[in-house]
Amino acid sequence: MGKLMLEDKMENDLKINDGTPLYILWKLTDDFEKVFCKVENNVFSLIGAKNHLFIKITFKFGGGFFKKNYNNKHLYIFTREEIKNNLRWFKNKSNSNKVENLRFIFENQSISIESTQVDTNLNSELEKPPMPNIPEIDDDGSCLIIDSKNIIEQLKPINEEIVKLEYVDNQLTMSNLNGDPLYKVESRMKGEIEEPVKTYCYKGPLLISFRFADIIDNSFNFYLQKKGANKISVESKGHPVIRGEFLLTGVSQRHLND
Amino acid sequence: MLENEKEIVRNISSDLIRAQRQENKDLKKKNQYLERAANESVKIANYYLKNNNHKKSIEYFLTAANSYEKSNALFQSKSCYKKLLDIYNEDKTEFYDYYEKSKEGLSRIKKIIEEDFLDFFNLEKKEGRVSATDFLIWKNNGTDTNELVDQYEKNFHRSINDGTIRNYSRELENRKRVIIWGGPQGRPYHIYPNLMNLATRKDHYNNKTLIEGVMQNRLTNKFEINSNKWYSNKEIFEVNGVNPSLLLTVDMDAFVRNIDKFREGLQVKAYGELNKPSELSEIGYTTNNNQFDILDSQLLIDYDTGEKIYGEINVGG
Repeated sequence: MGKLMLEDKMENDLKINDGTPLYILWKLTDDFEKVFCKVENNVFSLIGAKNHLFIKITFKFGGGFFKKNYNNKHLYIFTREEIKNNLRWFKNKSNSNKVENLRFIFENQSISIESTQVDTNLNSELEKPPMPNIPEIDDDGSCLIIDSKNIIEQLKPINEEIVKLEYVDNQLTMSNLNGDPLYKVESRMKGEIEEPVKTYCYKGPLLISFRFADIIDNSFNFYLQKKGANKISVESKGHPVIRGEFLLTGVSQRHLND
Repeated sequence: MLENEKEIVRNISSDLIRAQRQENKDLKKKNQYLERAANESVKIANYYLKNNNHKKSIEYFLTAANSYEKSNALFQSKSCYKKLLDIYNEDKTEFYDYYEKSKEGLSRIKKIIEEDFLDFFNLEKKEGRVSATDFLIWKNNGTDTNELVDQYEKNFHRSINDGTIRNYSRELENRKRVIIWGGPQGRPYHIYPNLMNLATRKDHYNNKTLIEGVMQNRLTNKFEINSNKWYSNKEIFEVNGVNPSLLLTVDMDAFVRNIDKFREGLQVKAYGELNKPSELSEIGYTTNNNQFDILDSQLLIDYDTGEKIYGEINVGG
């Protein structure tokens, strides 16, 4: 009986030498009171949900990280306090990069985290929490933002709840609703767009998305829809592969007329 | 299948007979029997309608309309007549006699509500004053005790004090005619029509209201999200104890913050805007078969503890 339990536990093991997933989990607490976590098929996902934003960051591990035949699904929701109390080591990036022999053991309602530097647990607030229903986002045009730090600096001074975005002639323009002042961001067209795309986003969620895109990579794709939701997507091809998807709800006409 | 169909039918008949016996005796008892018969009649009428037995459905909606009217529950009666006209409009080939009866009934009730209400209620008797209080709450689509005192004096040219209005409101709540939130000491009651058992809620669409019910399944994942219309990030739950059931939507921030509290079986009072079923698709959430009204909640209260789960506490009446 004891041996069987040990083997079950072994299949829930993940061993890596990079604390980035936990660093990003810590960073998510700046903007989210609680963070959902899903572990399935060698993919570790962190999800933040707000009224106008979904953030989904996935870490895809290559073969050999999980024990073979790892096919379980674990769902968790961690409170800000739980993360702050137990992941202090991963508060900064340099510590996270230094971590050695980092081992995750996925249990029903908790994750044990062990390394040369830390030995801790993250307890889920609920066992198998209900996970958000994350939509697929279409687009009417997309562009590649090649300097995420720059776009963050451009967005910060816009003192509005809602930001107008226009993509025309290879240039993404961000402005307030009156169209002034204008902030132009260098971008590259991705694919063909037949006509200029104008859309609206809530500034708070947009800034959160840009900041997390910047953590993952210096450039990212912005998928714009004339009506409805927009999406930002970013990928870093290291080990593990980190992919960020940031889904921003649209701004309804009713809200624009307020 | 309604498990206890025969029993419900028997109970309706018994309550109508009991109400007759109380005529000229105990007005409150008479009205309570009528209210109970009417509530059960709506329940079984909806059941027959769902099973395409229009004739029986119409008979029971008419029974409900008459019983509500006799018990001075004017707005509930009005909703039954409106429902009857809806049924007729969907199936014009039959039931013309019922259509005429319903039209007459609706016109009669509307006249009382708009013109003759002063003579309709016997304000010399407590039951008349309680009914008049109910009338004002429904007419205003919800109010608070301060406003209700003013409205009572203005509409019925009689003074009434805050304590009496609170007593009447509590009695109406016990009789399932209104729902109260707020109070007790010093703070006003916010009082709303009880739409729990209303034949049709169409008159209440786009109004802020308060409902009582029991949280059921989380249905969020049954909906597809149309990104062209996705304007708000919602969680969706079925709420029972309301006939027919309705869907409760919760803003994502409120859901995540209180995720441990959203469990099946939780009895709640929810305040928010009542919307027609198609409203969810207007904010991007679509499903094949959504016939349920939607309450877009902005305040949720644990029924048992009276504690606020989330939302703004300072809502208007």
